[in-house]
Amino acid sequence: MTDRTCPNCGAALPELLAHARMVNCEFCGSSVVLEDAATRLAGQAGVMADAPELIEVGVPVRLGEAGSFNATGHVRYDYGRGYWDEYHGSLEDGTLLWVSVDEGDVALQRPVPKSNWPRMQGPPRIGRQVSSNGIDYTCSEVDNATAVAFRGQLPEEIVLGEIHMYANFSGPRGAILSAEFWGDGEAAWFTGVWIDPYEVERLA
Amino acid sequence: MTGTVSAINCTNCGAGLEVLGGGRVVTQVCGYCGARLDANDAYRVLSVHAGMVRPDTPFRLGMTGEIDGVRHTIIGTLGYVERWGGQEWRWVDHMLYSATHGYAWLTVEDGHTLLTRKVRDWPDASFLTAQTVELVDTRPVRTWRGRSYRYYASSSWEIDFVEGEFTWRPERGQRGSAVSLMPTGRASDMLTYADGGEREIEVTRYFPEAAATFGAEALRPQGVHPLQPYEAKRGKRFYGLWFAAMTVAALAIAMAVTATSGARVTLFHGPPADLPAEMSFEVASTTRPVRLQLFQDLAQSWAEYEMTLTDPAGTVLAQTGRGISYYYGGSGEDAWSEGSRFASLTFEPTVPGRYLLEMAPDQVDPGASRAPLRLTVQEGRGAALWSWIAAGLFAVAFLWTLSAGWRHRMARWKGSDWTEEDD
Repeated sequence: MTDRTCPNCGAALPELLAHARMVNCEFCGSSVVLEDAATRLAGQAGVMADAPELIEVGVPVRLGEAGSFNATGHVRYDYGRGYWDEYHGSLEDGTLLWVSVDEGDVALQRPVPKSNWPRMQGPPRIGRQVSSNGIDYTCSEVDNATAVAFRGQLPEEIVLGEIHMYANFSGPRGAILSAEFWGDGEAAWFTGVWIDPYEVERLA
Repeated sequence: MTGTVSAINCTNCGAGLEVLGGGRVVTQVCGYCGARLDANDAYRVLSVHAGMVRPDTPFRLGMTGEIDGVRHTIIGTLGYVERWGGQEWRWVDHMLYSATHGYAWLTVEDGHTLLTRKVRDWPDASFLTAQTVELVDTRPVRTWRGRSYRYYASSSWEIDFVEGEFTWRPERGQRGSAVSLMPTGRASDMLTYADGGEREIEVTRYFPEAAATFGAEALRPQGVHPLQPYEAKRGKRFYGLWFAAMTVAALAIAMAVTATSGARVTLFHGPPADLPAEMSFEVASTTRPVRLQLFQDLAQSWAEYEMTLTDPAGTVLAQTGRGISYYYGGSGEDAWSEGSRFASLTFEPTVPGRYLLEMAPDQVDPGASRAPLRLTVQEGRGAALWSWIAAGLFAVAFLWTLSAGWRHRMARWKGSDWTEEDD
């Protein structure tokens, strides 16, 4: 446990990871944003409906050739027809990354440095081609998603209920590129590789 | 992942339809009226395919089963047909859904069941299509996950039945093509380059336990499927060893009998007219038969000889005749022959000693009178022929048993449309 407490119920927050910027209180379910020496209440952590999960926070899994992954944070996004899960955690060597799981589509994703962000005129649309780090990608999906719940600790603040646009791009030999766009003009790009869901193995 | 909707009413006919798939489902086809519904737009009707004939399959929507420890549900059924050269091939694909592992296909083909999954890590080299295969001179090969896959066949399919939920928009009459490759050796999965609007690469494996897994009626597989792995029949090892042992034993007997036969001695060699009236020969052992053999190099002619054989005690053992005739004609595949240039008289010697043979031409065709006749005698003659035949039959049985795996692989590749000339 830590010396920081939940601003809603006063309960001690769990041991905080160095990269944590957001944590959910295990006692009252509040979202707590960590700001230097202070904590700020950011509402409830949302309802994480029971569903079969390939990855769980705190349960190490083997992600095929990528090796062991330990999820420390979990965000669920609703895209209307269903939802997908994103897990933040670390590999054995301490590398921090996101793993996205959507109905058997498991992707290991790392942020793209801003210098390698694709140049794109206008909003993304299906079929549009972009290039990043010398690799060409074609847009295969564009939709809006809402963050509906989170658990554990995250490296950034997630505003539950906030809608953002996402776009997925397919590259050669299973390479993937994805983007997230918010209303305030903020964006983030991630590059990744697919993991065979049958190669995701629980280690505990 | 799926949302909370578990059932809807068909917006065309009102029938209740279960929603079994997840959030990636975009089309639901009503099994009652054939209406294609847009799952992303309040299930509005996209089109209606009435009068579709349900394909023969023991699997139904909603059946569940565990594959590699993961629960899957059958959410869709597609009937495919391929027509070529006046022939027709049919198979059925069932779309499977797992909340954690996504979508896959269960295929029913000639009573065999197969499992197909989408490949994300595409092999290097270009996407293979039926058109590109037509243009190349050497059999296409692709490497995937460290294994080499060789071209097997191309197919052009058409959908003629559709029911249930899908992550794309299939419809009756939709066409596509696929190019399949298989690894050499014993491995038996298949890599398929599917081009049906979207291009995908899939890997398929043989899945014989499908009916039991999903609680469906057992199927009766016909023939050897290209993906069917070889399974040695029970007792193959025993029968292989037994046939090998019998082959060795029969060979040993045949060789022993042949080796212990007496030498062949020529009693006469010359024109039939020069045959002496009497010939004699010595027999030392009475334990095995003695054979007198006649050979005459006849061509389109015949000859008959009278033979009287007397033992050392003066007992007539045989008073008989032997005929030799040989005719032939034609050429090439129409060549024929009739008769034999050989004749023989085999007898059991009664006592050791000198035997007397009286032999004279009876009726001889003029053409045969000029052909030289050779008469030999062989003592201690054994019946090695049957041992040689037995050894041959046992050897064939041994090789048949031993080659079961090879014959299975040949049967798997039998359906390949790549001809040796192409190689």
